[in-house]
Amino acid sequence: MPAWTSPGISSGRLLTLLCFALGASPALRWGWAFIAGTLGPDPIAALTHASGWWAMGLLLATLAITPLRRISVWLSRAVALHCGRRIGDWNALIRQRRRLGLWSFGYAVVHMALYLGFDAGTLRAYAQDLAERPFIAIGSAALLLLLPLALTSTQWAIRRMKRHWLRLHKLVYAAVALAALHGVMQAKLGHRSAWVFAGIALALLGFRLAAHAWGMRARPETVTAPASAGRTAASAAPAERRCGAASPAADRRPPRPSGTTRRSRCS
Amino acid sequence: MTPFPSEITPPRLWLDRRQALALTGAALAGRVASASAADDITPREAATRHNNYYEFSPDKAAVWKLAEDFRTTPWTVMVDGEVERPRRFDLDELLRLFPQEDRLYRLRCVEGWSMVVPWRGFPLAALLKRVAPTSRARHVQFISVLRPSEMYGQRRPMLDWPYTEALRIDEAMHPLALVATGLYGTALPPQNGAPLRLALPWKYGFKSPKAITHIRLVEQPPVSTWMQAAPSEYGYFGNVNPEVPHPRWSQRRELRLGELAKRPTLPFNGYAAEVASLYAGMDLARNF
Repeated sequence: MPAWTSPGISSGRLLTLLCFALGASPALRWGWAFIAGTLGPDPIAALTHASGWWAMGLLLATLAITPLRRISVWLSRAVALHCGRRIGDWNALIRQRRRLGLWSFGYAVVHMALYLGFDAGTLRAYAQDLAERPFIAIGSAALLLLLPLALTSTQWAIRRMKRHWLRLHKLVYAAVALAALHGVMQAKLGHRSAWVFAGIALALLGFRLAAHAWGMRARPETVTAPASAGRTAASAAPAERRCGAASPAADRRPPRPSGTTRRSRCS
Repeated sequence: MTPFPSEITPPRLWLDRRQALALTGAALAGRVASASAADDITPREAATRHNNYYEFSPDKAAVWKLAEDFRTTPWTVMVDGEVERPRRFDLDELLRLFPQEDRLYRLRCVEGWSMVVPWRGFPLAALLKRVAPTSRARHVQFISVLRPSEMYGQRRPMLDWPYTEALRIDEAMHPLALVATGLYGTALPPQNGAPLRLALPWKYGFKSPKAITHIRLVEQPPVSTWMQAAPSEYGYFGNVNPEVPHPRWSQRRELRLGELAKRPTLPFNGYAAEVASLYAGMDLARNF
């Protein structure tokens, strides 16, 4: 649990509310702008761009959760080791990952529907576009990859699919790579947001590659107990000398029961 | 806002314009093509708040705001190169020398949107004839203003500033080629290219440079700003052609500002009857 938990509302509830507000606010804003007529003389293009932007932004947010947790856990351990103080990590974020992913998928569907319904208009025009402009085919492929992920985002699917669920959901890496490429290819000169998104996507995918290459797992819970204990023991002594902690920090961290580990990996 | 001196029209000219307006219908139905009956005039609000003007910003919705304080007086246009009488024109002088006409033109942007704009201006041919091009004048280059102190987009190296465009001399002399100094019955607002720009209705909008300060007649075809930035996407001609695809925007269809669904794009933006002969025998897929 994060350290800022207030007594009135649990941090989990607060995070859920924040994520809901984040996901719903653009749609509400566009609805209002459409009614007020402030979307400009080409409202469909404006909404198509905005929905694509939010689909990509929220997809990157889902992919940022694992690195954020990893870093926060590493930080909290480091602080505990070196200063003998326990600070909160951000593991609670994991519960929001599927919600953010679903919002992202929702905006991607709106994006595609606006393009198909108003821009292409007909399936024949869509087929011509696929042939003439590769970024449309690439974007369509990204949405297609997200579809099974959205369909299997229920608790029930996670329980039924067991370890296959994680394997299936690795498709998100391919989806985000295609989506970033789609964004960069359609970006006109001077428009930078697609490039910023592509950079973030590259960094988030790079984090996984680096974590894999260095032999550590990207997910904090999957660090096995012996390895963790060994690392802790190795660094405990100097930490004690430097910070003057009364007892090795490792003692203050209760071991994680293996049952909760497996469940939280999938949530 | 105080009116520009160029906005204060002498009554004689003003009366002429009235007359010209009355004649517009007849003239447009005749030799000078217009947008057809199916083309409703785009609301002024849309045409003046949706502008592709990279000198200010690549964001179409931001241009009108960023351009508010752009100074258009004093303004001069240098016309030189392969001409017998090169000279610098003052804006007021241009307005005095060449009778203003009203023209209703479709404008098709390369980004797949279009509008129908009532321009006011004078034929480019009248200006070019005034300086007497020599026999070596084969192309006309247009150079827009370079003023990063007021044009925020020019502070970013997006394009090789100043913006330049070019036409073949026969295109420039075509009666449809207009030097626009006004729209919707008023002077051009800064975001639409004040104080003077081109209006070439059969070409994509990027071929009509805004805020022109220099016109050069040359022998060799000049390389325009967009040809230099993306040679595979933008050719010398920039004629509206639904058969030549663009990597980002469909050229088969267009969104008429104010509508929701797209409509098919016509060859030469619907002005084929007037201009197709300029390109007789050319492979338009290669000369795009």
